[in-house]
Amino acid sequence: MAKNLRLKTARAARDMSQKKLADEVGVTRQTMNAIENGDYNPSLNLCIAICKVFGVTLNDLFWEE
Amino acid sequence: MWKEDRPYDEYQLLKRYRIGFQTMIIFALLVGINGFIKEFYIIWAPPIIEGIVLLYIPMFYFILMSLFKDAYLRKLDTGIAMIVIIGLVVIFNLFVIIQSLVYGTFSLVKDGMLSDGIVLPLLASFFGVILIFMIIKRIKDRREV
Repeated sequence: MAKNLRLKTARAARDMSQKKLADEVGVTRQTMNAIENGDYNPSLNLCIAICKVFGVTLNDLFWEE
Repeated sequence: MWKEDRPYDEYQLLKRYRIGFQTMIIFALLVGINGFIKEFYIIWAPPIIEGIVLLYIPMFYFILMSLFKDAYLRKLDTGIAMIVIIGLVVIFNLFVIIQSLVYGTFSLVKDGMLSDGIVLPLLASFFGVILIFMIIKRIKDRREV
């Protein structure tokens, strides 16, 4: 699975650490790291929670062209 | 907002299920091999020690793999308390082993079978390796942040 660079970029743009984002959505930092590196395909609930933190849509972060 | 409120998050649970299944396979294999050895070769330990040794290997596998895959500690655990507690258990075990060595009561084999004395080295190695793994993992995690 490809790396999720859009998630990484969105996080970096808000100057947010993996730990901070992980705490906001209720997962571990290692899980957030696995999502960004493309090692784990998160559930829809988790994707929505991440999008809500950034105020973006699922398409913006998780839709692969 | 939806927030994961279980002690382990979804990725950790997925890994724990996978490691748990592998652990069950290892345990089943060990029970089969043990039955074969007892039937055709030798009774190598009294029943209680046999049970402890047969449980030791799969439990060891589960804990080490869970630690290695970041699925052992819960989301809010920092691991420091566990490192301290496990460290104390290791020290206690080593103390008892050294004490029995000094008094000459330490024996691993008795009447051609493993004796009760095997339990302490097993426990010491079990918790000792877990302690080392937890410390290494913690150092690695702190470098990643």
